[in-house]
Amino acid sequence: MRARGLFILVIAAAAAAGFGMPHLLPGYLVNILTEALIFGLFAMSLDLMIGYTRLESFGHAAAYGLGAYASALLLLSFDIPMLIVIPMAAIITGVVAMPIAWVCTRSTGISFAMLTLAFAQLFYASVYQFKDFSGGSDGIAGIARRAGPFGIDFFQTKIGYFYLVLIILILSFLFCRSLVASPFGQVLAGIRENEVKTRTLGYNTRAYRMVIVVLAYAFGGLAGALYAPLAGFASPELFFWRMSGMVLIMVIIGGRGTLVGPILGGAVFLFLEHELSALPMVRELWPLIFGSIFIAVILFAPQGLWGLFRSWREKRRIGVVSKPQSDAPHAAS
Amino acid sequence: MKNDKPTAKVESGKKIDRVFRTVTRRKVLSGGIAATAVLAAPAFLHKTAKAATGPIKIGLPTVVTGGYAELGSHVIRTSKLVESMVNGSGGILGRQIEFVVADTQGNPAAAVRKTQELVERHGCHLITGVVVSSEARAIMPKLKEWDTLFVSHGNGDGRLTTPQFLVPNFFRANVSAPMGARALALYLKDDPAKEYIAIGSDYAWGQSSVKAFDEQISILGKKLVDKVMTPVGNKDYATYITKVMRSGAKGCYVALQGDEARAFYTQATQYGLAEKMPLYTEIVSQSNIKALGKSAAGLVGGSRYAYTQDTPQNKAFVQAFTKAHPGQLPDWTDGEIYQALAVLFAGMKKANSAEPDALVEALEDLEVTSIKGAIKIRKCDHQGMNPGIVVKVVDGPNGAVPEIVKIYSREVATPDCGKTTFS
Repeated sequence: MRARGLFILVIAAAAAAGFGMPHLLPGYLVNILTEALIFGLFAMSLDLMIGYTRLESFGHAAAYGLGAYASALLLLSFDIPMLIVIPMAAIITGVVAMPIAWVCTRSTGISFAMLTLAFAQLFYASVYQFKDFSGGSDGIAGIARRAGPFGIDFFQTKIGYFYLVLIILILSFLFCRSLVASPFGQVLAGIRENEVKTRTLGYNTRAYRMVIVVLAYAFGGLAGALYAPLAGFASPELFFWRMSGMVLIMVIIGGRGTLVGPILGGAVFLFLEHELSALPMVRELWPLIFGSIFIAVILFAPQGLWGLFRSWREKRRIGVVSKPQSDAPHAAS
Repeated sequence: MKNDKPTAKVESGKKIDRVFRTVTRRKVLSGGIAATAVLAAPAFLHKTAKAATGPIKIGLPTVVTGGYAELGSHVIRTSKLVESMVNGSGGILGRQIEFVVADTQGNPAAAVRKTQELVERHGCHLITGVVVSSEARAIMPKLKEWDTLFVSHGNGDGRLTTPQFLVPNFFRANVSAPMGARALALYLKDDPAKEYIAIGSDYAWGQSSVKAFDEQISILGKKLVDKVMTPVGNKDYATYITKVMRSGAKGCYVALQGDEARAFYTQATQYGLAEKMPLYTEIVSQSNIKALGKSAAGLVGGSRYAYTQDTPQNKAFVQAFTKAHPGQLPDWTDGEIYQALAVLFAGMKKANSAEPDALVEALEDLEVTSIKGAIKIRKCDHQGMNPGIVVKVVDGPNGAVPEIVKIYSREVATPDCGKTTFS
């Protein structure tokens, strides 16, 4: 109970700090923080596939890029407010993901991973092919945060946009948390642990896998849709395999199958990359240090940072329980 | 049963008590101190004010890691050289200069993030050293919001100084891609070959360069038989080289940079491409010459800067450079960043200020005698009017040397105002 109380206090303090933070920080840190939250959402979407269904995707950048380009094109081509464009872009990504899910879920394991990678690279190549539409290698620049509806312009500002991303992240987290805790989520857990057994129990496991892939793409698309108005542009790199690798690292660093872990992983990844690359004494060696940290996490915290925190909390809980027992003689006396 | 309820209450009370016992006075106090620290944070976390005293900070959001890292390393080494030269002679406007480097990785998203940090964290309201044109394009719309001046040293995309992308706080001191292609095309006027093939990196600069070369040679009654655009970061050019060799063209125009150029020239040497047809390039760089080895002799190209240029300013620069970096010669990026900084400093002296607003006014129509000769920054589109230099690589006693074979006047080599074309 003590540990639970502490945990609630920590979460409440983090939420309060989250809501108050942009007012205390300089602009560039607000932007980094906003991007960290977007990365967190992106990583959490992949966790639905990796952590809860054991569907290792090597091409989740496709979702991010699709969301970003959909958001960019809608904002530039139509007079639609950003608050409407963002969910629209997520829905578009989900719709595009349906045939991808249908094809990819025909296989499992490494074949599934390679198929997802192939789709992401297909989109990457397409961006270069359809230059009139996508801007080719130049990407799409000058994406504005269009105000409205009802004249709402608060989210156009740097701080307002941070709050928008934070609210969307919290709502997405609550949705995903409910989803994985629901009977639907229990079937996903069954697929993760033993798909054959789950199928034997009468569940159409492929249908479940397809649904989770579409949902993961939709949330990944939501993250991309939030990124484009933040950066002001969308470029082909968003589809590139490097982006897929990055989000995979975020999930692993944070802790797969936890939802909150990948959010943490996204933030840690961005801040580490940013701060290490800014250190003058390491200069061009920073990717080496970054890689070493990643290896250390894999070796010493295979459950990720959130897993590390949870095991620490568990040890403390055990300590709290055992302490009164050791104090018992004194109490008796 | 009677005792059930009170017992439950006692149990519940114990639990609540346990939770709240953990929140001791000491913890409340330490929490209060932490909260106070957070509230007091703005004092040192908030935006760095532009200081009129102290060193003039110049941000270098450049490529330290990634495919264009070599170009970034040239930016840094020459900027540091300039820093020691300027500070050693008393500084600018009585103030020392200081360069702050940030790694953009050649990625537009990181470039925006890092530049914003240079501005807001380090107080650098003057920036230069951006390597990739797409990075420049991502940064330019933010300049007004950041109250920052950006002087390009090497961004080649012709459109950056057209109404499509130009912003008031952006200036280009360097030769653009259309300018490089123009000088080369003019030189090829007397070349008997009529058909060429172009190979270029498929991004803003490469596309701009190939497009300008195509336009320029078509004016001369020649043509491109094909344009081979290769993906950014490509390392394997075998299939592309085969395509070039089978094209039937009499010359190959190359618009590749950094690691891409090195990989292409290395593989071109293996395939004997240079023996089959002459190679022309928009930028002859020292690293290209090194990659080609003995095959470099005969390579003809535009040159944004050649260390062999015979001007007193350039001789002084090369001397200072070779003294600081024994055994090395300045490449085109070294020359262009040196010139961009010379333009910036001349602007500061004219404005008697290092404030971006004052500098915008001072840089417009500024005349500077640079290492390449007389340079003028046009007011109409903020493009630096540079001479058009063409070099041919020849064998020298100490290896291949880029010998200047033609210099076109700045009026001939610079496109029409706000355009990428020449009248």
